[in-house]
Amino acid sequence: MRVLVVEDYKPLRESLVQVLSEEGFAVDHSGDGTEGLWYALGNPYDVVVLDLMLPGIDGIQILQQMRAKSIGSHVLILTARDAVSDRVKGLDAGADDYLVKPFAMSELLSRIRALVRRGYGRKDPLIRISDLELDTATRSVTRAGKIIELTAREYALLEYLAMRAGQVVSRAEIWEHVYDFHSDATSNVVDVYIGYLRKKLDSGKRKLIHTRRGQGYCLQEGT
Amino acid sequence: MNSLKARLTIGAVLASLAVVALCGGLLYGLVEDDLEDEFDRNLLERARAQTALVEFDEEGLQFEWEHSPQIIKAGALPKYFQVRDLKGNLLAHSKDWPDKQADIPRIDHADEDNEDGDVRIDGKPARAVALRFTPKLDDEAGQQPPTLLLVVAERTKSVDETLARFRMLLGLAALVGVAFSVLLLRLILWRELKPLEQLAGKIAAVDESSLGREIAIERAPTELKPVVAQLNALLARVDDTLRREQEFTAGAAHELRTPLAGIRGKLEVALSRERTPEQHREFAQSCLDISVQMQAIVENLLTLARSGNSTDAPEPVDLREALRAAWKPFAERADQRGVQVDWEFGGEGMLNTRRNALHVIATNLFENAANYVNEGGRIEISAEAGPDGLRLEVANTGCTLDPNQVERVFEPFWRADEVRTGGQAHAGLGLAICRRLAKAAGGEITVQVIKDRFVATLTLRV
Repeated sequence: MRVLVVEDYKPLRESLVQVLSEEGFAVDHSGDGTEGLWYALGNPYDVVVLDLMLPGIDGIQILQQMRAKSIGSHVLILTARDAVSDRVKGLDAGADDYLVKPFAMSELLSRIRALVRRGYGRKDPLIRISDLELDTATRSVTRAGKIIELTAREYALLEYLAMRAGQVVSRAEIWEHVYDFHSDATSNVVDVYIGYLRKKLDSGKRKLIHTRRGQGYCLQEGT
Repeated sequence: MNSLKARLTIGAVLASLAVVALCGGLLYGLVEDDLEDEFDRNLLERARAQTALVEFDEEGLQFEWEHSPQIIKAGALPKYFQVRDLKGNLLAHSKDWPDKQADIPRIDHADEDNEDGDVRIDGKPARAVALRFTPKLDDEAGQQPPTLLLVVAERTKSVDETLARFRMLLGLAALVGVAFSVLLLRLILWRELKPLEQLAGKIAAVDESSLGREIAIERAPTELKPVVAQLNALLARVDDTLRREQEFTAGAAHELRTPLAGIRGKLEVALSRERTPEQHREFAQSCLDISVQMQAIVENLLTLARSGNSTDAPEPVDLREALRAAWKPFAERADQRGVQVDWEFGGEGMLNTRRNALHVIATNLFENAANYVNEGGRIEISAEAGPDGLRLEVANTGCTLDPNQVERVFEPFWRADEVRTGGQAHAGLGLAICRRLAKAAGGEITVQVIKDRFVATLTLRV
């Protein structure tokens, strides 16, 4: 999943980017409001972690412009302002969640995961397709009860496919949701990673990752 | 005792006593005179009547009462009388007044035939009238009758008693009058001073939470209205100051949350998985940097808190020296970044001003310019001191602020551009402090953005 972090306080921004990356998210970041808005309008982020007091234009304005342009990314406001009026203002402007600094990283991650689930219309953190089970909270994958070890990138790819299980997902969409600007990858890396996944998941078992010629991939039981 | 009620009461008592004493005294005097005059008139009439009973014939003076005892029996004669000749010899007297030495009134004026005066009869107070007369002349007298003096007296007991009774009544009336007026006064005072008590009660009830509410008293007297109005104005000012301080404290606490979140974040990342010693060192260093930054924020907060009541008194300051000293900490870095610094001094060299305030303001303005100037840019510092004060202008190139947003630089903790500050721990409080200090010193700071130049101007009136 792809996350945008807009936070002007450098130490915090660095920590957020590091934690999210290590958790397997594709992360873009900015310390400036104007730049942050440009990112938000130009890419389909699953979650935008947005600070309110930013140089350039402030968080509320970014949020308003995003909603006005029907950008569907879920927004989690991260700020030191904790008054009820501030929360109400933020949520009424179109935010999906609100977290006050200082906060526990673990809580931030849980909330982001919740927003991701919401984005894909899922309530259950556990995704089951046939005998494949993904625990999105712990990022563990089992097939037929056996744990499957995946790299962070592999898991990210699988999770995206699983969230959209039953739908055809194009390479471009995978590219946009599983990779960030800092990836050195090229677009055929998607095919390469699909290959890795198939080897770990599907070999010797009923096929779950299907190819749709000219359209993309689809994760489901059966064809 | 400093009580208004007591003073008014005492004043009223004294005043009414004086009035009562005056009126009473006057009244008494008039009544006394009246009674005495009537007494004397009465006495004179009786004396005159009695002179008709004295004749002078060829045998000499004839006193009719000596010839006709029934006159005395009838009580027609006064109880106390004496007839004397002009030499003072006693010629006749009443039974009860044989006193040859009696102190009779003297008739001084030639055109007066009588005189009255006080005498004592048997040691008791009495009043006497002396009447000069000539006895009736019998045709067969042969010589002129002598001029005689008839003195008639009467004890003044009844008049004295009446007057004594009158004095007592007057005294009683005065007392009652004064007592009544005092009571009435106290009642009126108690009623009319109630608004004062009410006001005191309402003031006592004001606490931090009710500062915003106005004090009002029912039926406030005109004299109290300005007091109440000023009191409410004062309360409003105090409330405003308190609220701004609370807002500032809350804002400050909020802003400390950001560096705290930074430290927490770094530590949580450090502990979230296995890290190399090198990584841990980096995390530790980051936390240290942030802690130092927080320390600077706290120091600035304290300065700002103290700047409200500056105890720094005006003294002569060498402008050039003070400003160059304030710039010194930033000179090296500016030099390294290829920044050109232009100085311009005008007017007087010495200025009478608050040294500390000037130093803090100049330092903050210079720091701001030094932090936001672009590499190879320019900083212009111009200072002009005159008889009415100082004008210090600090301008730096490299400004990317929106001219409409320029006032935001005064917001405590607002940072224009984090990227450009190079992580310096100035914490965005500088200009907020400057403005506070400038105002406390009787001046002001204004800022402007002209193209790519940020210009901050300090005007201090002396």
